[in-house]
Amino acid sequence: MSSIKIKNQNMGIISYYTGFIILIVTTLMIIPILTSLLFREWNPLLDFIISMSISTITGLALMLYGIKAKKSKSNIQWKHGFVVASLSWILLAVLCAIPYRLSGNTLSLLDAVFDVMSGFTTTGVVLTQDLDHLSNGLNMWRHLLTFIGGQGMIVLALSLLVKETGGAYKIYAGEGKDVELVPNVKGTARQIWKISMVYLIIGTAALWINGVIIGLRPVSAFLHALYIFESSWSTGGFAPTTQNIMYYHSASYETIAMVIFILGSLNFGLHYAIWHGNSREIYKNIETQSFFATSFTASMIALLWLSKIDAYSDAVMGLRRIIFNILSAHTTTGFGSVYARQFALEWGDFGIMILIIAMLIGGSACSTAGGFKGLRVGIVFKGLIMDVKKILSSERNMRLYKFHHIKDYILEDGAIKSSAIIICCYMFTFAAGTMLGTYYGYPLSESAFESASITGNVGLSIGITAASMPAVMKVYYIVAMYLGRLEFISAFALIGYIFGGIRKTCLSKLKH
Amino acid sequence: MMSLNKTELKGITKELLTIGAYVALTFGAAFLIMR
Repeated sequence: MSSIKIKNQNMGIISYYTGFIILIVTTLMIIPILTSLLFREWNPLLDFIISMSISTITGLALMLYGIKAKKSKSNIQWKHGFVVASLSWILLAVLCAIPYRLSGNTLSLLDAVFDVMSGFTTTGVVLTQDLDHLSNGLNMWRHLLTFIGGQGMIVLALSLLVKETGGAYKIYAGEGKDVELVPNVKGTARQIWKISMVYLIIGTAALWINGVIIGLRPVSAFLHALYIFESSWSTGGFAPTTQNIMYYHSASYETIAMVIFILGSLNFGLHYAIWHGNSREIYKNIETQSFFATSFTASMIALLWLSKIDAYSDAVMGLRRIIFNILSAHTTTGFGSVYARQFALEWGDFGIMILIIAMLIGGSACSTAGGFKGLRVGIVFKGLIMDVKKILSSERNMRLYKFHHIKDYILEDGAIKSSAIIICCYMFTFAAGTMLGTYYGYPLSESAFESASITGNVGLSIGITAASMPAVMKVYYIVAMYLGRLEFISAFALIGYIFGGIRKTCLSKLKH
Repeated sequence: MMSLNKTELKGITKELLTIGAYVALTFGAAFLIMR
């Protein structure tokens, strides 16, 4: 009897907080509703009203189911936090896809869910049709989703908590974030939003001015600036046109976007430290050291290779394209200043290999970026050096090895092990995606490129991702984007929780 | 929530300058190689 009570209690807690997160995120549909009203787009307006009603009812129903458990003041445990995080991402991917499907711009609900997951995980690959003629309301929603996804839906929900909830940190950590900027989670979530909103104002203003200078009309320039900022800061890669960043034909526009997406790929803890007077942190931090070293090296090697094969006859144009695409891949943004097929036809196998490595490494932990992150690369690299030094030094020599990430940490085997496990998970997901691509007849290098882009939440495409690709690949890519963004653990916790529940139910039925 | 003090403004400026300098350095190095 008591085990049933505990089970209900667990379900109640999970249900309440999942409903709360759904309610907060889907309330944001107010923004595309207002946009549709402003531009007198009546069909999209209706789509969003229907979608918001369905989502609100779902959120409220889940909260009502769990209200008893919430009132009993049960503690949120780690398993609750991780399951809430992973479950709310899945439910939100379906609920937020309703306006896409109702708009008629996606060929199926699967395509709509694919695009929403691509937005939430800040990947940026697109299956939406006729991108150049989307309504302003739907465009606003697409870019808003990628902006929220970058910061994290749970971060958004926690920043709106009226009072601090015990155990909220466990839900926060479930979204793949582990940095506490201030001693409480609500304050941390608010600081993350403060950093993002300040850059939203600066970045949108810079892009707006540039947009007007290059000839866009003021209102259009503002919307483009807002969309491109949201995509850049979230390292998402969505753009309001099919030509992506090439639409603007502007080196200055690309450079502003580049600065924004590099900033977006940095750890929120690092932003906070610099904003609070610790400006030397950017040079001392293991993550930024790792990012500057790997991205600079990748840019130079790609440049040497593409010069060797004479990929671009115009040197300045070539330089601009190479650096932009390498940095876009490394920060996991996915803006492309060349067409998808040009990677396959012009960059050669070696160029594709560099992009794959850059995409898999990715940006910083606790940032908007994907990939297995510079922090883990730095830790594993330092761990390797530590092991070599230990072998070479005297057995009596007991030296402590450290790394710097906001503060000094002692490099322990536990940190190296957990970093290596996550890197292995990424590599396995990448390898499985590559195999699946080859199974469906795509060339090996192209399958590997697309798989790295999806697993690392990048969004650059070599041409495989299209509405016509097999449904199995769409489903796998959705799962890979989701796993990559949540960094595996919370998704595994959800699977474990479901299977644990099924096992217990089967065992109790067998007993009776 | 959105008010910024002097230290924060300094921090933002330093961040923007550092990343801007990194982008400029990458382009500069690339230009030298391309020559």
